[in-house]
Amino acid sequence: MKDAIAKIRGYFFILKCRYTKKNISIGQGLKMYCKLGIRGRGNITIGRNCIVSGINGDKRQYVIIDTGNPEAVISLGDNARLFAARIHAKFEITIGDDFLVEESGIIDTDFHSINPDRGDPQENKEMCRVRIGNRVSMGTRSNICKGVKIGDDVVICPGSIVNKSIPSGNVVIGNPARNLQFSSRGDKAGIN
Amino acid sequence: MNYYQIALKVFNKLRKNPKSLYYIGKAFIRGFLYANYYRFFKRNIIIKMPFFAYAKLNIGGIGSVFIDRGCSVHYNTFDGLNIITLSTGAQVLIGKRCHLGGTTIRCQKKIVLGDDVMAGYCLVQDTMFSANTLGSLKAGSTDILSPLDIWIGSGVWLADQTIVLWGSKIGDSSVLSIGGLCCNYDIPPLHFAAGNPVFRSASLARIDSFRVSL
Repeated sequence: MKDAIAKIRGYFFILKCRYTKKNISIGQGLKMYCKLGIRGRGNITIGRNCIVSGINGDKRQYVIIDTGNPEAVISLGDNARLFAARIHAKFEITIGDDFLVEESGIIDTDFHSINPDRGDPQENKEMCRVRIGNRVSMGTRSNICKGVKIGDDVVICPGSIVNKSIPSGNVVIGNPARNLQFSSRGDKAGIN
Repeated sequence: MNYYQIALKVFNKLRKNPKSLYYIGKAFIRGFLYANYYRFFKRNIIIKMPFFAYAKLNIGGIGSVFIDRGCSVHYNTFDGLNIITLSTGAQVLIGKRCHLGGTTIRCQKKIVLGDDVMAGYCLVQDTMFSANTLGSLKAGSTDILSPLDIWIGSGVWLADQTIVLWGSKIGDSSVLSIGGLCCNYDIPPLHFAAGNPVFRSASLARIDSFRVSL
């Protein structure tokens, strides 16, 4: 029952975007289990079979995709699963296929400079854009900062903050995010 | 908690602040209604009386939940207490006289909280991805995705914005500091741990000795 309602809701949202908002293009098979808030005048493209949903345990949160600049670009691949995600772009965010994210944020700008007057930060597109590969999954309450490039098959554990690039095939945790290791004291026979 | 102790607690609070009796009574009645609702409509959830609900309580899922007597749910900047069980074999056991405010618990296997636990706006989760693990994830990382038990001892203090992840054990009356993340690590009893992620912990007696020297 819920799936059928989500499919119908997604179908009407695609129709609404096709006739009223020309800057948004969404592929077929969108499922909306909760509200999808799209703001701004930048270009947004979402692939096929996307799932939009809230998070278990907090009913007030929903998915936000936001462009702060008319020249900003956000592109999501196929089979994206967004659970209470918050994506904000000033320049460019590109995400590959099979992306999984829960209750966490992706942002590619600092909004303000470090100077006391908090004026314009001197940022450009090449320095700040975020590129994320295929089959990446993010845990709850984590964050991706500006200028980060993430490869394929990366797992980001819950509670981690990523501010440096990650090569493909890694599992990262912590603030700042580093590779997962449990052999530091050897007191526990866990993973590895 | 004995009824005599409850009466003493109420009397002491009433002597200091007479208005607090109204709030305690309101919380008691609200907790009574919650406990009876879950008793009659959801058989997998057991809440023992007395239960003080100062804030909202939300329990969902198909696993079993047990809350012992004397617990209380408090207001924080966020909601009261959220417990979500993700599979049929999931077990959440909460001991006596726990004070929980703004806590979310997501369980797939087993989570145990001892007596007298204080917890703020924190997350206790024994899986990597709670929402939906279907579809294509990385082939080599299947071990990481399997859930492991969490055991939290009695008298533990979990501060605000902490995260307790799979496989971690926290000993009796130890403290996890603000912003800490504990993942597959043993904190011994009477120890203080901080950092994201936690790599080492100091005993509380050693920290007290620092304070004397200052």
